[in-house]
Amino acid sequence: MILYSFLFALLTALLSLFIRREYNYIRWILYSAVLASLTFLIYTMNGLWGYSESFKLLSVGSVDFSLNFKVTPLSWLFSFFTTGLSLSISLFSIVKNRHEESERSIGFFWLILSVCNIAIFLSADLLTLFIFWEAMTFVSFFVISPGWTKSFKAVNYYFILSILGAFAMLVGIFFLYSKSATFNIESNIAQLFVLYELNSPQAIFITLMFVLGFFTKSALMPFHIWPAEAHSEAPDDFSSYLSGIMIKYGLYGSILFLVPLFVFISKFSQTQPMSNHIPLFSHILAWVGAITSVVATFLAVKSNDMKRLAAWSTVGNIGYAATSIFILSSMGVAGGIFHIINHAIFKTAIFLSLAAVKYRTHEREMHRLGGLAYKMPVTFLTFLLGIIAAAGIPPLNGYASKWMIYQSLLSGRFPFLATMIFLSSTGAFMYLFRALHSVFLGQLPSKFDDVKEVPFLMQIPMYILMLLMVIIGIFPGTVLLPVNSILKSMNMEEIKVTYTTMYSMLSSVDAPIVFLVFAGSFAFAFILYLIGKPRRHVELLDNYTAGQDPKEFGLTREMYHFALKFYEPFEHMFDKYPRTNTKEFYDSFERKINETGSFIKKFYSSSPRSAVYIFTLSIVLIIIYGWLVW
Amino acid sequence: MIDNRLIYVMSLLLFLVGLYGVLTRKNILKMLVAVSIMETAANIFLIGLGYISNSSAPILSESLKQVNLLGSNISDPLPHSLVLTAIVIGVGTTALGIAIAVRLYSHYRTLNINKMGDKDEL
Amino acid sequence: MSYNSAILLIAAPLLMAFLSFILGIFNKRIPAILLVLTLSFNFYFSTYLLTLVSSKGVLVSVISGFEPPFGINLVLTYFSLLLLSLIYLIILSASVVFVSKKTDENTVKVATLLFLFTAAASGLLLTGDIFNMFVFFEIFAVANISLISLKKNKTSLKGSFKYLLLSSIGSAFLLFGIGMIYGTLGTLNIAEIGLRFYELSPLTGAFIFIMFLGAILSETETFPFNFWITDSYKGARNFVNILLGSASSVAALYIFFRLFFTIIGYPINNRYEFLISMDARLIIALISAISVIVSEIGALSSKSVKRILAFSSASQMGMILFAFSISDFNSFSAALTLIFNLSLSKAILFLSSHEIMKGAKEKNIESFTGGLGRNPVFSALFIFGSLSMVGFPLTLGFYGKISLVASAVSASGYFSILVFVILLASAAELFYYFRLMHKLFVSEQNHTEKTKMNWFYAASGSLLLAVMIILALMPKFTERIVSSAAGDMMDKTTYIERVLKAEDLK
Repeated sequence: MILYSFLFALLTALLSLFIRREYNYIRWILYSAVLASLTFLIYTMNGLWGYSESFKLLSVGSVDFSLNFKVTPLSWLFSFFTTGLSLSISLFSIVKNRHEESERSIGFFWLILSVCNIAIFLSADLLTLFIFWEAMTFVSFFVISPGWTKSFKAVNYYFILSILGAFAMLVGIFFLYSKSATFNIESNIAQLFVLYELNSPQAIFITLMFVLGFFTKSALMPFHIWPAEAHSEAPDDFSSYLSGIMIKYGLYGSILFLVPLFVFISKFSQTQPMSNHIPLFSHILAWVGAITSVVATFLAVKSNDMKRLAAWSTVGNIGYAATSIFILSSMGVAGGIFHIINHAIFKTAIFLSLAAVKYRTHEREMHRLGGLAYKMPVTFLTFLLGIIAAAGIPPLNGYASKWMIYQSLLSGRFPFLATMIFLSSTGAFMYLFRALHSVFLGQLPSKFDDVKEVPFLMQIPMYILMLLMVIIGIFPGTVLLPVNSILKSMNMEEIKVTYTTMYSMLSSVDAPIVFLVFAGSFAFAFILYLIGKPRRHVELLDNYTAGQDPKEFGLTREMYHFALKFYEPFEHMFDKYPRTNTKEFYDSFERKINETGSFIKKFYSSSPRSAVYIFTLSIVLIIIYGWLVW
Repeated sequence: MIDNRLIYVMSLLLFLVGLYGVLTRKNILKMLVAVSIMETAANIFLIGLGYISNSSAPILSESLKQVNLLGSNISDPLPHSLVLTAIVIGVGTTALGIAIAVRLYSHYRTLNINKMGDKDEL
Repeated sequence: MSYNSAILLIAAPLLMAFLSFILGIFNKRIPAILLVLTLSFNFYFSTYLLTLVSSKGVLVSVISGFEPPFGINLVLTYFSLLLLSLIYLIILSASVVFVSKKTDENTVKVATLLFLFTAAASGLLLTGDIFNMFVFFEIFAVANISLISLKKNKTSLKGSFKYLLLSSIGSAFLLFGIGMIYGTLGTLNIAEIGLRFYELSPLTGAFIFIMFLGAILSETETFPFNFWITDSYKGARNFVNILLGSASSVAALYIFFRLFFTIIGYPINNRYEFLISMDARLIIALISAISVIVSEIGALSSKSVKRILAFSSASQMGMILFAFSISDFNSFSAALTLIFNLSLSKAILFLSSHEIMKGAKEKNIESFTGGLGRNPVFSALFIFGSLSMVGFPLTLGFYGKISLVASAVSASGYFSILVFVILLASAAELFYYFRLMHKLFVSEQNHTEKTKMNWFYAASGSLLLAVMIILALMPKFTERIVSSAAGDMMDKTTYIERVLKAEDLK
């Protein structure tokens, strides 16, 4: 059933290549239909825990290649939410891509990517996971860069890092396979645990390989640079998919493989170094998450490009979730998963609204935008709710998950981690408000006077996402109850939660009450607004600046829009601290490789005699080696 | 009265002479000559393998028929035939090399191999 | 019963080589048509022999009544026939490409060369006599060199001259090695040499090993010995590229296997060990790993597409040699899968890239720009080929690469470290293939003219693609041929037994 639905989707993708350019929208309607049916299919699998499918492929040597799929609570939750979100994005894309030049390849590869997405979540063994992981990496290359020169430069960071990570993971998988002779995830975790007791360095090496694979994909330190490049240069609607869904694979892998391993170790191991009741390794990874979130926050504050800003915000949020996952308490894991889901929703909303802005204005630099709130009210509202959720302000969903993360950090006694998360969360206010101000508030540049709201079809997904944010904010149990069954399937203690209320060791929150308080205060302010004096809208230029008529100065509305270098004073505060530029590091590495390559190339096309020289020299070297060994 | 080992050493020396020639000569034709010397060295080595001190040529003659074959001193004929083949092949390769050398000359107007590195073709 | 008809595989192309000269006087088309016909026959006949061998085991074809170990005999093993069929398929597709060209005064000569190439390749893979192998090796090199120099421009001449120098030195090495074997063991039959190699002193063994290394590594495009590749590939004509990149490489790998495993190696505990004093596996593994790294880096900074493909071919060969050096059943299976992948997809890549770049002034990566719009069929072929090359999941390259990693990691020791290094280097390969594919998607107009579709190219490319897809999507079939061939490679004992007791088989 699972495989056939995949084949069906792939076939649709293939057939859709033959749709003519004039009928682009048919292709996207088709994709939406396929995604809708996939979403429905996954929805029907709810509760079928343990349902599995297996397909034998080639077996070469000792490796039997086969595709194994299995439905578990974890895989169901992730695949359902991600497919549902991709459905909403594809609804958005129907209109968005009508006049897009390279939409044919975008759509084709995107649908394949959606299949890979579900397959990654449903895969029952490490080899299947790797197969679809690799396929996803390869295919996403073409969606991020569908023949655009600019995005090609950006996608390279993503692509090379992901590939290196995937290869590291491959080596890890096969190191385990050579010991356990199976790809099954549970037995491999057990095998790795045994290996920790027997041969600790090797076990750490294998774990590190997996960590590399997962962390490159999820853009944790020191691989955090690719989202800013790739997310910002990708097609606008695809950015939301990248940021909302694809970046989560690494965290999914961590929850699938690393967390059970570390829980195992923390429960049973006598030999491994512990810190704060969790394995030291896990603690370090939690710190990596926290540091990532802080670094990403500072970088987000600095950026002027709105998509880049949102991308850095994504990295920051991944950092929270990673920290929360790797402290290994049930509260932490639940909070991490919850935050992943929430982030998927609100980041999709944010990127969709940014895509809507760009669809109408073709502008990405924030200081060139402004005042679009009146022109594009629905987009504005989506963005507003999105950043409220992202900043963790009640009553939306981001608040619920951030609350859980703080609770888990505090109750697990990780004060420094909690401080760092607080710090970056505060930073999130700064840059998100800046984005809101620069894009939607402030002064509307005169060239955007006739900008209209996006078509209704593009608004539908925004409504859906807004609704989701509010509903999950009021009833966190809708997500947290399935999360509880995940914890149960991972043999972890369940957290105490009802549909409306979340409990922790320290306190509890009744989300509807929080919502009512906020709604009440909002209503109060609105009533004040209604009963106040009648207001008149004053144009900014209808005013005096320093006692002068601005028109005489030649001032324009754009000049009143203070958005460029918004946080310059804040940035100056950190001037005296040394900076490391990770991107520069990667770039210089690339340059070195290229120089070496040119050297090799030159040697290859030099005169025939050097060929003979090197030939002779190598033979002599081999003879000398033989002599020495003998 | 030639010791077999002398032939082996000589052939090895000849091979090294050929290698030296390939490495140091600038002229393509001289390089080809050096390559031929290397092949000749290998051929001499093969011939030397079949040679037995104080033996006669492996020609079926009246005198040979009368000798007891087990105690006979005829050299091994197989390497001779092998070398014949190898020589023919070597000639073929050299001819091909010279043909290429002629073509190279018509392009570069020189046989100096050091002047054939094309920096512009990178 | 003797299987002497196998000699037809060598004799038919050799006969045609002479015939085509005579018939070419009347009509220049005739040799070309003969070429395709002969190759089809050879392909069919080799697959027929393959089925025969798979049911009856190793067969020996005794020539002119000299029973082995005397005289020249052909040994038909599953492994050699499988590779031979593959080579015939490649030469067939290359000759289809060649046939599509307009006839000129060279057509007849080139056809003769291609016949010679085919005969030499057949001889190399079938012969059971090491001196005979040397002869075919030389003929093969001569055919290769002449084919490379066909274009008569600077690059091709320089490349072929380099090839000539290296292969001449290599053949002198080979001759020395053969002489050493003959002088000490007194036999030239590969099976008997393999049987009695242990009688040699370790020093002699090491000497022969080094001679063989010098002889074969320049053919297998391994780094310190492969300085001919870039100029040769860049300068050669398109169908020659296909032959060089696919057929020649496969033949070279076969020689490598026979020289090092059947002769020097001996299987113990399901793994080949070497009868010499040095750690031969480490040497081969190290050289191949270095070769992979250097070629990948070289390809990364190249601009010319053919040069990139040449470097990539060298790196794939390095990977296959690395798989050989692990030398157990699993790694041989991996190597076979990689060989299939390399030969088929490299041929597709050369063929399609030539068509995509046709009409562009400079044949570099920029001429790929907008290929998908200009030339959708060949762009699709190129994309399929390169996806298989880089190991997109569920293609041949993927299976090969993964099983290579699996076998290397399970062999442990330095192999698991080296395979990690190789994997990291192959990330570079991904990068430059994706760069090329990306160029195809770019929609900007450049000055490349739209050229007419060449149906011969399309036919030959889709033939290769079909074989590749069949191999990737028919697990049972691929599994059977790969495991039989790998089993055949592991089974040195049967090879020796069947060859040396050829008279019992009658």
